[in-house]
Amino acid sequence: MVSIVSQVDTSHDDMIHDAQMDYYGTRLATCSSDNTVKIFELANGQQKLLTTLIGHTGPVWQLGWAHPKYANLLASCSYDKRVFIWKEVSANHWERVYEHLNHDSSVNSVCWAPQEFGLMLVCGSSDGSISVLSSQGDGIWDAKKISNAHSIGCNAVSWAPAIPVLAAGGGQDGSSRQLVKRFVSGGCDNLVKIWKFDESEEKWTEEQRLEAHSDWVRDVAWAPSIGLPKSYIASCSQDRRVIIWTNTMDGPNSSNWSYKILHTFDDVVWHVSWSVMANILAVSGGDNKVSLWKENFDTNWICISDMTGNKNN
Amino acid sequence: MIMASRWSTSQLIAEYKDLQAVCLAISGDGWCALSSRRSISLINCDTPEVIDHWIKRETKWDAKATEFNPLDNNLLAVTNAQTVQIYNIDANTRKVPMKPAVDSSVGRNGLNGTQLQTLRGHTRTITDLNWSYSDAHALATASYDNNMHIWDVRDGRRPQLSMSSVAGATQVKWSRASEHTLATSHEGDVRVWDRRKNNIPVHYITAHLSKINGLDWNPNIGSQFATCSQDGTVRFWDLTTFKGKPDIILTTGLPVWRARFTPFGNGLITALVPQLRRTGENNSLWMWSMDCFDQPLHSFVGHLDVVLDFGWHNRNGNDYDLITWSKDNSLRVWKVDSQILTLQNEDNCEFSADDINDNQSSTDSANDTELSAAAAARLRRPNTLDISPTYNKSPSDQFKRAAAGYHVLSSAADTAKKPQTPETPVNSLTQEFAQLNVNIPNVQIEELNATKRVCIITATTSVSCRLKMLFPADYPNHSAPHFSFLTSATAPSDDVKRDLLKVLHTTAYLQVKRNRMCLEACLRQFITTLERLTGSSPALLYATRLEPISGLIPSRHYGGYLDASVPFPRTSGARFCSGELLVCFGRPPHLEQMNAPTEYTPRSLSALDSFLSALHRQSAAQTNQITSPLVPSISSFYFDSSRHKRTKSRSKRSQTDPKSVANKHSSSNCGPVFVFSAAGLLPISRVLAENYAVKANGGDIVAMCETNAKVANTFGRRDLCQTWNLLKLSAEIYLKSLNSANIMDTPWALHPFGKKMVQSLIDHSVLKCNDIQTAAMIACTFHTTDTKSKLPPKQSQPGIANNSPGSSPYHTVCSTIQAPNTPETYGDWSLISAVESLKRTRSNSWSDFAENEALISGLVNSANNNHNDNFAQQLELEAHENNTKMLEPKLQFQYDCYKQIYADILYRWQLMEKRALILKSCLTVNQSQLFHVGIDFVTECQNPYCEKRYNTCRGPYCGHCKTPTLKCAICRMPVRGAVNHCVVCGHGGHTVHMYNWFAESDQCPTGCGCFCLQNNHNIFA
Repeated sequence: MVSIVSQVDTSHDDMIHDAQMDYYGTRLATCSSDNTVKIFELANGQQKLLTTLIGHTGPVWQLGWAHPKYANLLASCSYDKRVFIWKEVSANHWERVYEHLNHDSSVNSVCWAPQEFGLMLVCGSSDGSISVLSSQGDGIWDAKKISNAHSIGCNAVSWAPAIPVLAAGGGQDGSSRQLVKRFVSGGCDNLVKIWKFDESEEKWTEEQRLEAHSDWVRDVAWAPSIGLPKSYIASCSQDRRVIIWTNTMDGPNSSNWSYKILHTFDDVVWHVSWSVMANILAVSGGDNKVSLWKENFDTNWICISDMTGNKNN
Repeated sequence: MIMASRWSTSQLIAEYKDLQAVCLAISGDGWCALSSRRSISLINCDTPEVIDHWIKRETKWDAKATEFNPLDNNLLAVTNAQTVQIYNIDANTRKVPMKPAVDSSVGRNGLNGTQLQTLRGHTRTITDLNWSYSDAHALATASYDNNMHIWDVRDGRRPQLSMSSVAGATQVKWSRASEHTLATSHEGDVRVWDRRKNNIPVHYITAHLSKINGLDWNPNIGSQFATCSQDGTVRFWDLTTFKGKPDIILTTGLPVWRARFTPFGNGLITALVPQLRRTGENNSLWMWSMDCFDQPLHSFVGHLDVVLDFGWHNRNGNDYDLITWSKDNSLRVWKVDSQILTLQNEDNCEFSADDINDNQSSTDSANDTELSAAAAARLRRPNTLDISPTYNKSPSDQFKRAAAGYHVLSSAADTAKKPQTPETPVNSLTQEFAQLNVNIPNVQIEELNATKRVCIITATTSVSCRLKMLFPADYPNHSAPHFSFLTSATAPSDDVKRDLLKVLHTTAYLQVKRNRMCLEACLRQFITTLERLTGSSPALLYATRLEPISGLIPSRHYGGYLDASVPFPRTSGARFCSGELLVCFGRPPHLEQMNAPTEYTPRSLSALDSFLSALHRQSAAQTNQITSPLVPSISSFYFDSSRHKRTKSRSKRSQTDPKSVANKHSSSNCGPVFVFSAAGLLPISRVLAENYAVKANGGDIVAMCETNAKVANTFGRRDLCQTWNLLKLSAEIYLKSLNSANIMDTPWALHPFGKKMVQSLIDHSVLKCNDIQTAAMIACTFHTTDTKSKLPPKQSQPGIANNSPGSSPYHTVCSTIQAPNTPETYGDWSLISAVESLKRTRSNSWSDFAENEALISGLVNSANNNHNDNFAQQLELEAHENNTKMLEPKLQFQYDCYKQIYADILYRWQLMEKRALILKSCLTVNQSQLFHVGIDFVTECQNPYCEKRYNTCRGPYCGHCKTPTLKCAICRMPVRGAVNHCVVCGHGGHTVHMYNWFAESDQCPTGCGCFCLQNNHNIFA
């Protein structure tokens, strides 16, 4: 079902914490406990190390590629409390174009907004706050901070898709198509929270808090939209469960979230990721295993693939 | 800041797995009593591995509390459900009979080690007891029965005094200063009692919202006590200044089980409970200075489970033993010098104070300012040397580490309370000299004399240079040392000397500004600068270039107390990227998890601490020497099974130096990253996308369906092949019916195999299969015919003079506040002229623009009346048009969504042409997303269909019918690129044409009589 495209030996000096391909699927960025970020070019099964980004003074936890329309931007966040934005200023020459220093503890998660929202980055930190950086593309970054978003700490952030979802019964007029900026976050208070940008007050407000996990929420992922009036959020937690939250939008702003436990795993679950069509969820955790889940026609989630220890079976 | 540099492991460990003790008591002369259900074990602090004596204790209940009498080391009180048992233990022999005599009439000088008394009086479990500090016979007990009793142990038949409250008490503690005062805790409340007035508490404090786990009076400040609670805070209360609020709050983030003041100095020890009490989390004890709560001073690392209780034993003078008993069944003894608090106070608090000043404890900014100033010159040159090539820690870290150890050289007897007093300058210099790391490469220390306050060194690179440093009396309080060069064999040039002095002064100043010692920082800075200026071995250059700043910014190693809130790092993961790729990374197979397979991966990073300390202990035990701890890394949490097999023999292992082990280890610490293609799992397909035919407007939809059916068949998607064939059949009939164009016929679209079928096919692919590709393609196919179908009626529209130069579509500047329905089209010539005249009267200010709008709309309304009969016909036509369409117009927006999403995927696949074709068929998209702020230039579509609906366009094409809206006034061709307009008359065209025209003329090229240049100049002036 899944075929291997390439195997990359990153030669990091320590454990890898995140690996991501860019928008086109041609470049791979990895980050590690050795405080570096590496960028590889993958073509025809060949790998080529393009560059190693040095600058973080702590393990680098997560990366994020921006949409290519904003040039080649890569965000990285680290235990050293900083968020860096790297830019490829000329071919294969990367520069650190921005440093975000406004967190008091490890920054655990970064996520770029869908390109329709403009150039925006959300960062979640162990100091409990979330900051949203935005730029007009002129190199000036404006930061909005939500302090105390999650008590103890925020572990993960993920943007809602920007596709304006047509409310059922909504007309063709433009009003129902207003894009609302939203993201979801998960934290050590066992909560999943949805944040919404209040355009009138120009600030982020908590729109929804979803309670079901019994331990730290380790990752959240908002599923890409496929144009249906329904949205999904996957969250995973230290309590070894993955929960799928579903919102059937009855009105333009209604939020009616219900949840379903996908599965209780053998070890804590660290990461969830949606496929681009939102039909498959990849789950990975402390047991070094990856499993793929798909919703069948009875809206039950079934495991369709299980990969152990990096080896596809 | 750097917690890893200030932790220690215990000196003595003893495990008592079978004891199952829950309570620990420590006597003033160094005996520990561990109480379990079966026995009370007496252990000497010096030899914790041996149980010296034990008292048999047959009971069903765990002791809740046990305590030695602080005034009489022979008396031990132990709770047993509702009773308290008092034991007498002989001071000389510590001999306890195997079976305690139950003769309670025997006095305390009677038999060696007997149970003296059983205090009965409480009706429910006793939760805590406490001996008075002033009265050797007074014992206070607290119980769930809502009573607190004070007993005289000489007469234990009934309590001497009772106090009652409405809630059960969980803690009772006598004040150390006032003999009559005692405090009790009840859930989250604290009551303070005076024994002389026992009917009502003196103070009633709502201290915490959660349960209070511990209470302790400050030995230094008699009126102050601390409460620690499940809510993760320790709060400090002073009865003399009590205002209902705590004086200070220390937030730890985890429930605090115990918080007790240190017997020396002004410190505090906290024991935390990891949530769910998971083993492997941070169970370390922390020592805090009461002067600053930003960071714990010291971390006692080693216990693998919750620390149940701890106590102190004063060995002599400054030497204290901290004795801890944990749920992991180990008793640990930690040697603590009381000066630890003093020294660390000096170092840490200054540092923390800086942090606060700089930016809300942002250590980054503190470091960065330091960095930027101290080494700005060096950092601007990327290839310069690092000041400490072999050390990953900043000089100040070195100091801290030294201070954290036990080699405390200060001899000051009582400096505990005032760590930073200027009376101890000699000491601070002595300490600094003693702690100086003399192994700085290329630097030889010739003289280091604290009494003369001088330091002389020789630095050798290509030249040798002798430096003398004189430390003033008030150093390091804002007073930097004096630097001077001594004569040497090969002295550097004067320029070099000047540069060196500059660097030295800057470095020293930055340190002493914060009352920090600067010797080591200066030395390191000195030698690197010298090496840079005089040239150095290339090998060194290479070695240091790799980490240009890590030496200056203290590297963020694990071990901070904040780690309790940092999630345990992911070491494996899978992420969908781009279109169909799945990127997976994980631990290499040979790295196994350290903890038992039955346990889960820990929650937070602080779990690493305990593993590191275990590792450290292990290596120390094997090499019989104290090795420096490995740089903490997440990989140390995992167990390398392959390496273990290789180096199984102990002798081999002891030879390997931890650093080389770390290096060898690291080579295989990261597993490969796999990139999988999940194409088979996705409903969309790249090959289909590459081969599907997407035709622009006017394409033959039947042929398109046919091609797509073939493509689907070729790539094994027979289901899609059928879909396309079905669509082809429907499209054939549809086209035929269109061509017949008999308005009276029922349009084919209304047939079940018409519009309905298309809609259900789209819905099926999206709802059931998540197949955006097919949905978008179907929508795209029929879109082409739908736009074409409405072109013919356009020809039949009478009465629109759209060729007149006056009805130029270039319109006017309109403000964005304008309502979308405001009419802007003036339909015919007469109206235009009316508007033109209006426009000419327009003032320079935009403020009266709205008025003009109102005028225009009034005019247009009247103009509309002329078309009234046309309009009814128009509506009918429109309804018919909608019926003939194969796609429901109401759902157009939704279909456009599908197309957009599909277009985005094509973008990811870099199929740009296909993407453009798909996007071209979108009717409604993009306009709503053009967030344009300010004044907008809009045009109107000349298509009468669009015109009727007052469509305004914000681009070169009408968003609805896709016909070009801008025509150049000179060449009469549609304009797509750069365009210029007169805002007064609204005429314009290609920028080049306009430029050329206005180079010669100042009137509008259409001949409307507008002096465009002059008018525009007036408006924008």
